[in-house]
Amino acid sequence: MAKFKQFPPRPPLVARKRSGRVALIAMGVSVSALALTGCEEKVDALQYSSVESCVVGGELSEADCQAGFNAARQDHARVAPKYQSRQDCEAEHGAAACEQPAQQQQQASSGGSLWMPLMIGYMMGRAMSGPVASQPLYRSSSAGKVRTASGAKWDAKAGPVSVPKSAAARPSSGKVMARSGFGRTGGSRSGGRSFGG
Amino acid sequence: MQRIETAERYNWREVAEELGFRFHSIDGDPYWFEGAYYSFTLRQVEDDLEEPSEELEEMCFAIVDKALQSEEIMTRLAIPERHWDYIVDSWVGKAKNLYGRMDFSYNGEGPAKFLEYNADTPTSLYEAGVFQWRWLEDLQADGRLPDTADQYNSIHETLIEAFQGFGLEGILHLTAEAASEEDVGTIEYLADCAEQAGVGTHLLPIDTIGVTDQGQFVDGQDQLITNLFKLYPWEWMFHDEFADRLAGSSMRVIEPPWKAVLSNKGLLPLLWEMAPGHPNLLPAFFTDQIDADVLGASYVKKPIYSREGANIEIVENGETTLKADGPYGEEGGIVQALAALPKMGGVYPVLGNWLIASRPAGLGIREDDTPITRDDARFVPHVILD
Repeated sequence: MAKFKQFPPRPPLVARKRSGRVALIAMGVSVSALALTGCEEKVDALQYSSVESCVVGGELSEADCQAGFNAARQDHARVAPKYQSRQDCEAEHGAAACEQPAQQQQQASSGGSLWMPLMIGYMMGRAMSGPVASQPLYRSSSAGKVRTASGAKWDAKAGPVSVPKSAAARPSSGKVMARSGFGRTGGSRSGGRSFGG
Repeated sequence: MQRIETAERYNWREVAEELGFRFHSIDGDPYWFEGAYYSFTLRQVEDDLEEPSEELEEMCFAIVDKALQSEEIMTRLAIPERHWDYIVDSWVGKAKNLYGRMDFSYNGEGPAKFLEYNADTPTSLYEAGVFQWRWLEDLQADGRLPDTADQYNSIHETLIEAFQGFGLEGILHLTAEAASEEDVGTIEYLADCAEQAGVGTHLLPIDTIGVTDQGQFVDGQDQLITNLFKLYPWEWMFHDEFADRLAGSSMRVIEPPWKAVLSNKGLLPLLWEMAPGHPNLLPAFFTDQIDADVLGASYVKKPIYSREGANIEIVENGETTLKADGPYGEEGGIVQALAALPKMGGVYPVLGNWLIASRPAGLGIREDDTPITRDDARFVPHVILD
């Protein structure tokens, strides 16, 4: 019998008051003390140019393909990067890749003429509740690459794709106005090694 | 309940490193201490800790209900009025909670006395749930403890179940002060449990959170934060610059805002008022309550907001016998009857009873050389024998 088994198998249980198995999937392996700033993990996503291409891909049901598209389409106008001119937009997304948002939305914003990229596809996860949020994809300035609203880029091939985890989250709405608005009260008061307890 | 001295595993530091337990020592002194363990009977654990903690949790819910309908109580708890609606909404909306730790004074006999509730940002979770569990497995594998030995500790499994039950949509962001290795270790552990429950996670230092012109919170990569676990107390959050944006955002926060009512030493006098004479409660009063006199000349004085034992003062026979320094106290305080921690093997253990999703889930013991348990108190494992 090996002397140190990492997680020894348990005999059949009577009513026990402790966990039957305690395994860690990431904590024990990571070397960096700060996953907070460490290199980024990848997650599996699917990307398609249209519902039809998604259905043909065969990874998801038609209903899921449609639901993912709808969610992405709905977010498109809200999350797409905005530009002051067509020129600025095309510089980032290529010729004939830009549009103006619907009139109504334009009035709600600063009033000037705004441009944003056309939605050329969408990405989604295999499960709606997983780490990958359905979201629109745009043409990027790099050939053969798509990008998300927040600017993460990867190859523009249909089907399964591995993407940085942070890029899989739902895109934010709006422009970041301020940071560091949380944490000051604690920083000024705690002298201990834990801010929790 | 006994404190039994024993030999350390010769390789425990290596095991700790292997399992990602990086804060096992404080300035070279062990924080994890396995030169001794506490032994309980099953009856002690079930009747004296587990059951009372469940009952106290129900009483705590009654207190939240009552406090949120009373301007007077909310004012006494020093919760800023502009956040009351935000807190009430989270309670009415039945926002789920993840965890909390009730601390007890107990020596194996008689009712365990409830000292306080860290309901919002408890730490020492990983030590209790993982490393303590592993310690028992190793000692059993070595034949040093019988196969029948058990532990009050379903923390790990229960956390995963709790995350499964949360029904989170999208990624869970977890945040802490990056400067605290212990706090970062705690959120890394929680992230691990969340991932095992199928929830995608992302960790971030609390000061990198941003807010958009549309009132939503975002992480350092400008991604929307839909769900946030914060190892950062509500009472501090409420005083931070972004506090007033919380209610208008769609961000779901764990622990939910209503935990601000429980993670407050004002809970103790409120409980005593609701159930005076309850065997697990100590008489407690707000310092400005006239009843405080009934405690006589021996009591413990605690600020409403205090962590890691800071600013706690013990008065015996009218004289201050022990006082811990710290930055707290400006919000007022409470007095509580003195339930001195038992002295066992020359040290003072305090028993932390974990609740996960409000169900009793395990025990973690910390011992200090003084009767006030501070942030350098050592974590010591326990077993259940017979």
